[in-house]
Formats: sequence, C-alpha cells, structure tokens
Amino acid sequence: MHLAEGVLSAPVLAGAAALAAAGVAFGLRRLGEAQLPMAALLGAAFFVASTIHVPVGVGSVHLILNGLAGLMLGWTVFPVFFVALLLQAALFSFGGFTVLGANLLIMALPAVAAHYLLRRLVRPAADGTPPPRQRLLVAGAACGIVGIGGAAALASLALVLSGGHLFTELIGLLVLAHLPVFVVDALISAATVALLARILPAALAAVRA
Amino acid sequence: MTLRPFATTAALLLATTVQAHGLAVVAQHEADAVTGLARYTDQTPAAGIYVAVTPENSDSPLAEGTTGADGRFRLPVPPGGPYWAVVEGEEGHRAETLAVQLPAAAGGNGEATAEALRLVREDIARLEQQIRLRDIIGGIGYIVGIAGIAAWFAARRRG
Repeated sequence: MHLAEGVLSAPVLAGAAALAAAGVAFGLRRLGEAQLPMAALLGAAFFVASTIHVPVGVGSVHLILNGLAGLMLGWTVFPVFFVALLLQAALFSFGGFTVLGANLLIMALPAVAAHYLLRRLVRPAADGTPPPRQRLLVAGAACGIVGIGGAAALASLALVLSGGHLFTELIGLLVLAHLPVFVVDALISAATVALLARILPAALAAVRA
Repeated sequence: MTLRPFATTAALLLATTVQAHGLAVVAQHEADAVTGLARYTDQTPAAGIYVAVTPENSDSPLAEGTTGADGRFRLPVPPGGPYWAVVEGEEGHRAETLAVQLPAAAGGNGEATAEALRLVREDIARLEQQIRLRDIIGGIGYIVGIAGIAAWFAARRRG
C-alpha cells in the first residue's frame, strides 16, 4: 500500500505533506514518557511487518498492522509511522521521500480512527477487571479491518485526486486485492490484543482516554 | 457446523492475486527494441501491467505495451536514445529505469549474447532489490536509538 514516486500530482503531494507534518507535530506533543517504550515497540513492529511476506494462494501478502498500533497509541502513531516509513523508504525503497507525507496519512489516519472507535472495547472496567476475551478478539480483528480498509480508501482517494491513466480501473482492485491482507491483519491483531491482555494487562489499561 | 464459510474464505484467498508493495524494473536498449523485466519486491513477476518507453527529457511515450505473464517486455524503438522504461502497476505502483544501451554483438550469435546479458542484468537487479536481514536489523537499531534520544530528552525535562 506504499504509493510510489511519480504517481501522485504535485498539489496532492504538497497537501498531504502539510497535513502529515501537522499530524506529526500533534502526535509528538501527545507522546508521553510512559508511552515511549510501547511507541518504539509498535514502530519497530510496523517497520518489520511489511517485510514479512505471507504466501497466500498464488501471490503473497505482507502484514501492515497499522490498526493495532493505532489502537494502542492514538495520535502518537503519526511520529511513530513517520520514522518507520522513512526507514522503509531509505532501506527498502518502499514508497519514496516525496510521497512520504501521502503514505503517512494513508497509514496513520485509519490508525487514529481505530483508536477512537475501539479503545472502549479493550480498557479494563473501573474496578480493574479485564474485558472479556471475546470482546478483545473483536477489537483486535476490527483493528485490521479499520486499518487496512481505511488505508485502501485513502490510497484510492489520493489516486483519484491525482487523475492519470489506468487509475480508475485500479481503485476497485485496490480493495479487492487487499482482501487477504484484511484477513491476515485481523487475525494477527486479534491474537496480539488477546495475548497482551493475558501477559501484560497494564499495556491495555494504559490505552489513553 | 458447516465448513462452507471457511471454504468460501479459502477460495477467495486463492482467487485473488495480491502484489507486494514495491515494483522494480530492469531494462536495456538492444539493437531495435527496449527489453526488460518488471518484478514486485517479493520477486514475483509483474504480469500484464502497463509499460512505456520514453526518450530522455520527455514524458510522451515512444512505445507502449504490457508485460507478459513472466513480467518481461519488449518494445520496438527507433535507434537513438537514451531511453527510459516506465512501468505502472496496480495500487499506485510505478517504477522507472534508464534502459542501458547494450553494445552490438559482433559475429553470428548476437541474439545469444544479448540474451546472456539480459539474464545477468536481471540477476543483478534481483540481488539489489532483495530485502536483506542486515537492513531490517539496522532499521530496528535506528528505531531503538530514536526512542533512546526521546527518552533522554524526557528524562532531562523531568529532572
């Protein structure tokens, strides 16, 4: 889902870069000291996830895990994904430096949405009892769906705004092609949230209001 | 309990070809054509995607076509150059490269020489595109370092 260099038009690139910079600045202000280790951990997971290809049928998909990071971090995903995307562009040539802003928005906005939509599901009750396991699994799976679905929608929007040949047919394809990513990301995210609740409940309790 | 939902899911997964995120292209300018190979970063061939050859300093294509099932393409071009090969795939994938001019082979087996050069260039490109473990570990190292700097600043602010 990394858009490549030379695909988007200049106004779209500039607008996305400005919005992304604002998001990074806002996210940095919200990054508390206590959140730092989790932010680094999820940043590293997001950075590595896209290099892991899971063979599915004749092709292969790679994990994205933006929804999971968003659920745990909220607006802090902006600086976290910025670092991860910058490193992916520098080390793996995924995306590129001029499209960094657009790719950051595509990954981070759905992640923030996942945070606000799903955080209620994973926080322990007022008396400290953890949420039921089923609810955690639902929240984790929904992370995958919100994260990937939102990213596909935003990528399509960026392509539409830029016009150009071939794109109109491709936009429907983008969502269709990511169907297996939905499944894999949802499964991994659900498993991760359930595991966190068992071995590290404090991590979920720390999900910010 | 029926297995139908699972079977449907499995069928959907098998039916959809999913491309990894990166697209890469290698191309060379031979006597009368630009040939090349487009692959995704997981080294699967980029089959049936748009490919164009443009002269340097111009965006209007000299020749257009699609890649074959093996990701290879061959577009006839007039002599001259240098030419760029541009491939555009699904999901906003795009890659371009300079089509390196291959020297005209002397003797009777020019096509065999060109084929050998093509294969060598494809191999070199594959090695260059490979994601290496040291890059992944290096990237994690950067993230740890950046988190360390942030923690240092946070500690200074508090203390």
